[in-house]
Formats: sequence, C-alpha cells, structure tokens
Amino acid sequence: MAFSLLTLTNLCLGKNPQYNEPETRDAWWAEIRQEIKSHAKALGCHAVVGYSESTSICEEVCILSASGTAAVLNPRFLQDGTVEGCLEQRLEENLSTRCGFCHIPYDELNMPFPAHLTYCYNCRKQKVPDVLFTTIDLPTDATVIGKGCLIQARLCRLKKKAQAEANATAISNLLPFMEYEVHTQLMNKLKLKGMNALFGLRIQITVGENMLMGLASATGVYLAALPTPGGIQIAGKTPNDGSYEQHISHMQKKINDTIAKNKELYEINPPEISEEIIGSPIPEPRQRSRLLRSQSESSDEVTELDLSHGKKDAFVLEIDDTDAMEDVHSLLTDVPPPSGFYSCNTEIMPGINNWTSEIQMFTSVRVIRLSSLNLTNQALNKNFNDLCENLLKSLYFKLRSMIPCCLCHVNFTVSLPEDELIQVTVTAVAITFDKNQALQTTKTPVEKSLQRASTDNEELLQFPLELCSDSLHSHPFPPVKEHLESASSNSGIPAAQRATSVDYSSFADRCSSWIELIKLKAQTIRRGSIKTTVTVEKASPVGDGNFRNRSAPPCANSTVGVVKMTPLSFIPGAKITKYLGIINMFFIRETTSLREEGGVSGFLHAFIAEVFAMVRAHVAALGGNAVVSYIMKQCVFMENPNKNQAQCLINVSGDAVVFVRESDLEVVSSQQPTTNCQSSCTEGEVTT
Amino acid sequence: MTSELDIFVGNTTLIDEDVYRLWLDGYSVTDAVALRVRSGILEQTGATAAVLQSDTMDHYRTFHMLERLLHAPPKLLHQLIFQIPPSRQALLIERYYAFDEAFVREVLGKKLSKGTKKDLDDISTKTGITLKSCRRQFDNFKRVFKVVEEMRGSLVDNIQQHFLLSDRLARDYAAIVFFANNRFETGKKKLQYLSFGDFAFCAELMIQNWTLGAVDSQMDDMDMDLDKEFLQDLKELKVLVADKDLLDLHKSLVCTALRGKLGVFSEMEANFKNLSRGLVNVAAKLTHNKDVRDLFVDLVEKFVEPCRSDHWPLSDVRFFLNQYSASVHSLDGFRLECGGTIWAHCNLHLPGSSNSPASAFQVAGTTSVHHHAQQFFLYFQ
Repeated sequence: MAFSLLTLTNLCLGKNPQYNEPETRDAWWAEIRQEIKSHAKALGCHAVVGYSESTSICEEVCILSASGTAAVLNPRFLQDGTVEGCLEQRLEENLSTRCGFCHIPYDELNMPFPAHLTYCYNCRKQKVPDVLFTTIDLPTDATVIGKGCLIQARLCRLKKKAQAEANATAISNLLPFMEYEVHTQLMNKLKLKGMNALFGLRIQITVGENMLMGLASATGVYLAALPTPGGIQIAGKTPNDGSYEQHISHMQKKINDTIAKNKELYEINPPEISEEIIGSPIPEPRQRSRLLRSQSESSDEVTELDLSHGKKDAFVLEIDDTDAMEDVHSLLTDVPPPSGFYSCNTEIMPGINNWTSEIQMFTSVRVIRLSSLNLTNQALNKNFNDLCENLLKSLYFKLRSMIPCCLCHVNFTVSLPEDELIQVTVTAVAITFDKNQALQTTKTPVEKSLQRASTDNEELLQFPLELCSDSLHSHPFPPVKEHLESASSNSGIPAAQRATSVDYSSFADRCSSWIELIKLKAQTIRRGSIKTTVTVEKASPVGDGNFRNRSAPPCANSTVGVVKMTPLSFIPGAKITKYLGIINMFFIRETTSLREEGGVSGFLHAFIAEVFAMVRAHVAALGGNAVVSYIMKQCVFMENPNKNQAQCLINVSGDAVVFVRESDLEVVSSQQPTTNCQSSCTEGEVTT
Repeated sequence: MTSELDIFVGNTTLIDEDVYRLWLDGYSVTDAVALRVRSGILEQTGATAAVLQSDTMDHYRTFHMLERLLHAPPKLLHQLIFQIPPSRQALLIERYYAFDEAFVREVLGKKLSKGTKKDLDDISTKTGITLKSCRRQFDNFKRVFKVVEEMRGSLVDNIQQHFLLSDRLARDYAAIVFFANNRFETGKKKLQYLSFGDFAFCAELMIQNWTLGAVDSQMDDMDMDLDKEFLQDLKELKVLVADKDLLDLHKSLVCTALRGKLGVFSEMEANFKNLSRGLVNVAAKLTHNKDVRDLFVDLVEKFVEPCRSDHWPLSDVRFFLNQYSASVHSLDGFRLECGGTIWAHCNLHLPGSSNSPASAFQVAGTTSVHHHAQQFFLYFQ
C-alpha cells in the first residue's frame, strides 16, 4: 500500500430542518464520498482505507465530514482476501521490503501538490515524502524506531451567533482555516517529538452555538523509511531589538532542548546515514520544508516565508504576534506522560510488543463551564488545552498502579451541549506491558492472535439469535435484550464491515425511530435490572463455613464472572475462540433528584457504571467473557440544576466474544472449558 | 473555567487503599486532599493538586456507592455494578468493619441504641476519632448485633458467614455483640486499665463456657445469652463460705498444696477467707441482671484489688486460682460432681502480651477474670 492522507469536510445546511430527512442527507453523503474518491484518484490511488465519517449538528446546521487514507492496494494480495497488500505493480520488486507503504503513490514529475521527496531510507529506490499522515493503524510490518506517542492538536474558534444560512456561511468561512491550523499544530508537535509519521489520525470538528472546536488525535512514530525530521526554527519579525532577540534565542533553546529530551524519552535513535550513501539526485534532499503559520483572521499571511535566516533544513516558526507566541508556548507546555507511561490512539503502541493480560478499560467524562464574559480565541484555546491536558494527567495519575503501561485506543470526543459548556469524553484501555522482555520481536503473540481471530471472524460472526431465546428465562435483563435483538436486526451491519467503514449517521437515523421505543421502555429496563439483581442474590446463598480459612479469600466462590472489556479488536495474551455477536445498546436515564444522587457527577458516574454492568451482564448471559471493539458512540448529557433534573443518553456497542488465555490453551484442548458464570449454564455450548 | 462534571469509570473498579482509609476515617474531600498532599504524593507522581482533587472526588463517589453494599457484604460479592477482584472485595469489607480500639472501649457493653448514638459526639471529642468514623463503627456494631441476635449456632460462625469477616475480626465482633447483649459495665474508672483485647478474651471464654450454647449444642443455641440455670446453680456455691467447716477445709487444702510454691504465701493464707468470700459472693449474685452487668467491677473490687494491694505476682495468682478450684473438687460436698473432663479445661490461655512484667498488674486483673470465668464453670459442669 502506498498512502496519502485525504480529509474532507463539508458543510451542509437545511434551511428548515430538512437535513433530518435521510434522503437529503444521503445525497450530501453521496457527494462527499464521490469527492473523496476523485481525490484518491487524483493521487494515483484506487482505494481509500481507514475511512470514517462523522457528523456534528447544532440547531439547523450540520457539519458532515469524511476522512480516509488514499492507498494503492496490491491486486495480487486482494485476491487472497487479506489487506496486507503492499505495492502496486511498478514497485513489485520491493514486495519483500517493509517500506513499500511509505512510497509515494503518485507520479514524481506530476505531483498533485508540492511536496519534498527523498529516496526511501530503507530501499533507496523509491521516493518517500518527508512526513506521512494517515488515518489507518500502523501496518504490522512497518519498521519503527523507538516508541510512539499520542499527539493532539486542539483548537477553538469563536463565531457569532447566527441563524440558518448566515450561520452556515460563517462556519464555512472558518472551517478551512481551522483545518489548516490543526494540521500546522500536528506538524509542529510531530517535529517537536522528533518523529516523522502520524497514524490513526482522527480530526473532529464540533460545532456549537457560538464556537467551533477542532480536536485532532493521532499517534506519532518515527518510521525508519522516512527522513529524519528537521528541527523547529523560530524567527521573529521585529528586528534590531536586543531583548526581543534574546527572548527568541531563549525560546529556540527551549525548543531544541525539548526535541532532544523527547528523542531520548521515546528512544528515537535512527542510525546515522551519510549523504553519499543516499546518493540523492534530488538537489537538496532534506531541504527546507516550509512552515506557514496560518492566521485564521488574515488569510493573506499564507505566503512563502523568507527563509534567509536560520538553518535551511528546519521548520520555521514565525512569532510575530501574540497569537503565535502563545502557540509556541502551548507547544512547550504539553507535558509528556510520566515515565513508564505511553499513550496512543491506535490499537497497539508501535514499539511495544510484550503486553501482559492486565487490561483496564475506562471512560472518563469532563464538562467545563466557560466564564461567558469576554471570551477570546486565546482564552478559549487555553481553556480547551488545559481541559484535555488535565484530563490526560488525571488518567496517568489514576492508572499509576499499572505502570509500566500504555493507554491504547485513546478516543476523545468533544461536544458542546450548551453555549458555555464543553464536554470531553474519553474512552481508552490501559494495558500493562512487561518491561523486561525484549522489545523488538516483530511477530508477537498479539499479532498472531489477531490474525487467528480475523480468520475465525467470517464463519462465526452471524449473531446467534436462537441462542438468546433459549436462554430467555436465565437472562439477567430481559427487557434490554429485546432491544438488542432489534438493534442487531435493524442495523443489519455485520461487525466485519463495522470495523472498516460504516455510515454511522444513516444507521443512527434508522435507530432514532426505535430510540422512541426505548424511551418508553427505559423505565421498565431499570426496574427489570434491579429486580433481577435481587433474585440473583437470593439464588446464590453464600456457602456455609467457607470463610473460616483466611488463606482462601472468602469471595472465591463468587458467582459473578469477570467480563473484560476493551476497545481493541483483540485481547492481549488471549485467543478469541468464538464471536457471539454484536452488542448495541441504547440507554436513557433521567433523574428528578439530581442533588440527592450526588449532583451531575454522581448521576453520570452511577449511570456509566451501570452501562458497563449491563453490557457485562449481556455478554455473560450470552456465554461470553469479553467485549472487544467496544465503543461509546454517543454520550449526550443534559442537565437542569435549577429543576434538579438531568438526562443522559448513551449508546455503546461492541462484539461479545469468548476468549481463552493463551497459557490455558493447551489445557483447554484436552478438557471442556466451563464458563464461570451461572447464568450462562443453560447454554452450555461454550466450546473451543 | 469551572469544572461542572468530572468522572472516571473503569471496567474494573479502581480502589485506592489510601483514599479508602481516609474515607473510612471520616475525612471530607478537602481534608483528604490536604492529607494526601502532605503525604508527598504530588512529588512522587508529578501530579497537580487539581488532579488529586478530582481523583479523590472520584474515589469518594465510588465508596459512597459501595457503602450500601458493604452494609451486607454478601451483596458486594454478587452485585454486578462494580467489577472488583475478590482480593479487593475482601479488603473493602475487612477495612470497612475494622474499628478503633479507643472507640470500641468507649461503647463496649453499652446498649447499641439511639441514646448511645447521641453520645457519639462526646466520644468523638474524647478519642479524637472523627464523628463520621464513630458513626460508621457504631452502625457496624449495631448492624452485626441485629443480624446475629436471634440466630442459632456459633456466634463467630454466624458473623463470619453474614459479614465475610476474617476470623480475628469476627471474634472481636462476637465479643462486642456479647458485651452489648449482656450490658456488662466496662466504663468505670476502675476498669479503665483493661484493654479491649482483655475483655474480648473474657468474652470468648464466657461464650464458650457460660452460655446456653455451651451447655447443649443441640438446643436452640444462643451464644448471646448467659445460661440462667447455670447462674442459678452458682448460688449453691455459697456453702463454700457459709459453712465454716467447709471453708476451713478448703483453705487448708489450698494452703497445703501451695505451701512453698507461692511468693506471697503468708498474705494468701491471711486473706484466704476474704478472697474466697469475695469470689463466691460475686458468683452467687449473678442471678440478678444488675449484678451480671457489674460482674467485672465486682471482680476487680473483690478479688483483683486485694491481690494487687498485696503485690501478688501474676504466676501466683494463677497458681492460687488453679489450686482454689482444684481443691474444691476434693471437698465432700462437691465430690460427686467432679468429672474427668474438668481437668482438661484447666489449661489456661493467657494473652501473649500479658507476659511483660510492666503490665503485671493489669494482667493480674485480667488473668484473674479469666480464671474466675473458668472456675465457675468447672464447679458445675
């Protein structure tokens, strides 16, 4: 595969709330997809991978955006049905190398946009760009030096409140600048980390009444095939000012220090390559990459910078106004995670292979209220930045007992529920890894289990509905189960597709009709769950006299089976033996006694804990012991403290699976495994 | 920028032991944060105060939600809301039901009623334990009491089964429940030198030997209540002091046996009648509820204090009491009731701490009580 990033954001407007009609929106989506396809074609690619679509709605305005990575897939591999295809025909001689995906897919002499190309540092035959931005996970055969890290670009822009068309125009005017800014930030942060490629890039633009928020998350890595990134050069526009010059040089020193520190932190030690070996026919291989700070206010700034000052191979950052000054500051204030902690938003961390089975999935929600007076872009940016940074810091603190560990699949979602409220929801999984084992083994158990699971996929994915009806009497949450069934039948989306690209929005449309249904039954669900919890307790009295011996903990005979949850598609150190079907659940909770339940935090805390519990109970009832590919698609929270009320809607989904520890596999093959969950006993068909 | 909402929910519920302790000790979030800052956690982890605040709040919320389950520990094992590993569950329960020695000493033997609960303010000021923590401990006592009050079978087993406590803690709770049920007076100034451990030891022996359950394990077993019949029988001990011949005979038997073995022999000889009278009178009075309550006070007054004023060493007290009960069996009036099994019970258990010379007096008192408890039993099995 050869990749090139494609992103596209489109604005669509319904003058009356027309966009709510599926046909109107479907037309818009068709147009966007067409555009994506034509972009891919222009880049010489015939496929778009890592494709995703998202929607942000505020009042009558709706932003539809789609992003993906244009790729050239090798037809030979396509026939085999694997996505491991590497190169197109003209590069076939390079099939065995691990750098194929970095090579440019387009014609060097006829580039669709200006880019700086170098000969690949790995094979020295093909051209590669100096940086690579992609939306896909890191290919398993990529050669990565050091570790990766989570890189986020955060941006807020105020906009005037407006109605309908005017509003849409205002947003449309802001969007290109925001995208440019987000890319600039990503690029700067990437350079600051001393890395040269981004994977799993996800840009989310959220529209609110009076502001736009952009949040881009990606995992930065150092790819051995790409050139070493140059440093960042700061340049001031006001010359001949002694103190100012001093300030600039001070900043420059700080930046250089940070880069050096980051290289050490992420263990980036690329082998030194002398220029002759590269033997580049391109005049200046690692020459000036331009950095242009975008000014969303004044677009005419986007011109060629005078690069006469400073090093030629460096990124130049001009600080000519307070805005830029602040950007540099924010670059430097991004605190690296504490030692022993890594984070990424891809499935697994590049450069770490020896995962242990200790995983902890979590959801964290934060809402902040902005002081409404005199909001400026800067203040807004700072608030948003602090919010995200503090959230990450607090995660690092909370999970410190798991060190050495890595936060994988960090998924940030931003929403603007009200004028002055910013809500950030994070779902991720922390996985402990073993520090002592060798880090550079390429084929890991994880990958193996991944492949195995994916081959198992096809035959087992059918959702075994009859299994449900069989176990109806033993089901902990009968009312919810109904919805689950309807969900899976309504959606008609096999999980295999779900993983790659699914139009969630139209899916959501179809779902919305039965959300109404669920609303009606929400009360019943709650009552049902409480009732069954009680019966479970009654049905399983604690054994007599088992607790006298303290050496065996008294809880050993607990009837509640452990169900693991993870947003990843696999479970480290385990083999998925059976897929039991898709779990897709909507929950709506409302309270009229907010204060009594411990305020908004208490309310949502209890609710999310219960959502987890219900998902676990479902899986246990299906005979599974884990949820993979878990995702919280929606978390809409509304409150009215004056009325002592709050409402929350949560939509989660994932795949119920049965997994077996790899260490147990040998044992299991000889004897029938039994589930440790009582409620699943009736099904009794949990075999390997 | 103000934080409206800030939560963290893990698939496996995170439990921070330090925060749990602070919560149990009844500190408010602000105090807990201050204490954690002082513990140097910020320097260790590089976190900020805001992070600590949010973390503490999160834990407190979780604990608050867990508290209702902790009131009936088996529920914690079978609930589905919080996925907690078994070892953590055990820790949560054990810590929740742990109590402060200082606090339990204050309420030991008191009726676990609303009236006592009102006095918790005073106890809190006196012991320096926060009111919240006092309330929790008091409610724990009361809850355990209510559950096992009417239950058959061994008290310790019942407590273990319904509250999943460790053996040690269950024994302590059995003692607390036993004392609360019989309302033994322990608060008097004279008894202040006795620790909770001393009383718990007595309680264990009394449960074993004096209660309905001890007499007949087949019966409606009430480990909580003293055996009325047994107490009635104790009245007949009066003959030991009322009959002058018997008293003299008893004395001479004890004296002959102990001659040369006791360091305080002469004092013992001189005081024998008084001591014997004291012991027997205490025993004989036990038919009245009021006197049962004052059992420990009486014992200290009538037996421990005379011993102490004569500077009896611990070993001598032990010898004397052993011999005192042993001799009774060879008296005419009691011979028939002697059984071979009785002697098996003479192996006395002393708390490990009691061997230190510094606490000799304290121990003298304690031991005597232990002995005494057995003594009564031995006569009338």
